[in-house]
Amino acid sequence: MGELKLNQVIKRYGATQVVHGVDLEVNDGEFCVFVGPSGCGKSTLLRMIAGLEETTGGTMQIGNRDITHLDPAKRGVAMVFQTYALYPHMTVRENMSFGLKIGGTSKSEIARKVDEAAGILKLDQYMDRKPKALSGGQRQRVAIGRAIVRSPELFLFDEPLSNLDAELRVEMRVEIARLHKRLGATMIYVTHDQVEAMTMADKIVVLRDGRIEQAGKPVDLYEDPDNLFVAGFIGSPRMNFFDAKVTGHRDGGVVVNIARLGISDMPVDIGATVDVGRDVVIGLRPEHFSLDGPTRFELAVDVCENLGGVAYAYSVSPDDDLPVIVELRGRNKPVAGDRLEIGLDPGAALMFDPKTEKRIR
Amino acid sequence: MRHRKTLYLFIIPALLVIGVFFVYPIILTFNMSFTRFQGIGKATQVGLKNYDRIFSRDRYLEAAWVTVFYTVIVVTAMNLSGLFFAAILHRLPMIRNFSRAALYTPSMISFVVVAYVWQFLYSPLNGGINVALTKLGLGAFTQNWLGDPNIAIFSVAFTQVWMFTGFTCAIYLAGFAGIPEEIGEAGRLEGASSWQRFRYLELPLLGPAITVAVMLTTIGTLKTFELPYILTKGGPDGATRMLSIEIINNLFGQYKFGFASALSILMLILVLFVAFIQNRVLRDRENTQ
Repeated sequence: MGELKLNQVIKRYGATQVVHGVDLEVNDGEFCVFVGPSGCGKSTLLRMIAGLEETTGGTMQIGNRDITHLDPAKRGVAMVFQTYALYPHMTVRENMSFGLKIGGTSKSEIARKVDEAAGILKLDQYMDRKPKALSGGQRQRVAIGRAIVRSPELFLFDEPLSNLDAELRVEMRVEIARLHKRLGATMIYVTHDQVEAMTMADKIVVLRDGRIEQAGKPVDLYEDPDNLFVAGFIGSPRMNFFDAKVTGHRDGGVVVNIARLGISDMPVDIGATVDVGRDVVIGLRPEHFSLDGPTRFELAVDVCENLGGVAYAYSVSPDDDLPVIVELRGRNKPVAGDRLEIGLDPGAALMFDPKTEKRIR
Repeated sequence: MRHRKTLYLFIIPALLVIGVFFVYPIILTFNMSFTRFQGIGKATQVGLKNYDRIFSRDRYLEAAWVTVFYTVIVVTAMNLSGLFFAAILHRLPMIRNFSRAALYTPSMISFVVVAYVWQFLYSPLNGGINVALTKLGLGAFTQNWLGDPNIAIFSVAFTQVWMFTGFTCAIYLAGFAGIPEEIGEAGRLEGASSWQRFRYLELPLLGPAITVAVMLTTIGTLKTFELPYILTKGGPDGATRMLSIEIINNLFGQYKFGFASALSILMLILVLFVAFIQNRVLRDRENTQ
């Protein structure tokens, strides 16, 4: 069983703590993606699971086995590195058989497993080549093949697509997702690319500064984030945040004033009680704006990115660091310098506490 | 094109230095090797007589053989010990820099100082090694380290290995540093022990470092002069008499400038030949990996 449980896992380098008591459960057969900005501890956590970094505190279990301080080779994990980490002096076949060979597996068994993996990954015709004679995508497939032949309980991927070009990245993304379906194995995948996270994951774990900000299904994280960080990190283009003030109460919610958009009475549905006059942050995704939205306002367009089917209008304000991003569909796309008359759907607005950054539900 | 030609102007100073201090002396030596010359007076042309003398007397072929034998011992030991220390220090980052510096220190000391220190250590009666062995109750192992013809060459070789292990260790450590860390980590995850990672992953990838270390130590050792000259003067019974010592003896002992030149040319050919063969073999080995 490739079920992974992390319990209050800690990593310290001397006096510096980089992973702060992480609790996580990854179910058997689940595709779990660790995502977060650079330096958030996602790769460190993955390497701790692999056993390449010593765990300072807490426990880790795969199935019912405690692997916290177990030798990497005995954990039943296989890892695919960002740089592929292929053995340059060995052929593809030798690369894929190395682990089995030193593990004492019989020659016929090695040949069977390697050929099977090569078939799955369409590497049959490259088996006698050395890594330097392969393209980036082929090398990555060999690295995955090397992991497959060991039949691990847990596959670990450390930003495996970062070294590939955009087109190949999409191709490999699909291939890894297909492989996950075929093998049914538990996979943990580290990336800083949230498109990869959203498209591949059964479960996304958003990390910041060595702490889990939120873990859950991609759609849940997108639609129902727990805090400002997750709301801003998940989704591309990112969510718009507006400083707002609560101006009154209404049935099932409050009324807020968003100065930036010139909206004085936008209703927001929340269950919690919030005092009138309190400062809040309102989050709205670019797609929550539309030309016929019920709450109307005007916006000056500074830049418009027209992608064909969809366009993103950017409106900059000297008072805010980040521009307001609005998604527009249909034929009449604005151009830079236009004033856009547009509406938004207040039912989609999310409210956050600016001090704690937590969601107000 | 004009630009390309001007680029060549920049290598003229280097070519001048090589020409004046390397090529010209070699040509002079080559010319002198066909003469009989005592350092003063006039050189007499003797044709191939000097070379005939070298190849017709066992003494000089033996000196060439001692040189090659000594080089084989020293280069093998020096590279194995350097690789051994590098492999260990590569796994011990905490003490790596200090140990590398400590190991390298002997090679920074003058040959003359090293030779005199080891001459004392090897001294048969009150030398450091024999005294230490006696005090440790290993008196049976005391030897006449430099006086026994069967041991002397190994004693001299050991001194040279002691001196330059830090040098080869530094080259191999640089080689290890060039191997991506993930390769070792991938090996660890696949269950390779420390020895298996060294044997199957690191050693093959150290190819370029091996080539450099073996080439440099071979060329350096073939030219060895100071250590055997001070420690044994080529003795006992010619056991450590290398080509370099023969050259100095003939040149400054007997003032046979012509004959010493012929021996020098022979030594140059030997060094070039060995270096050429090694370079070919080691590069081929690298390319097949």
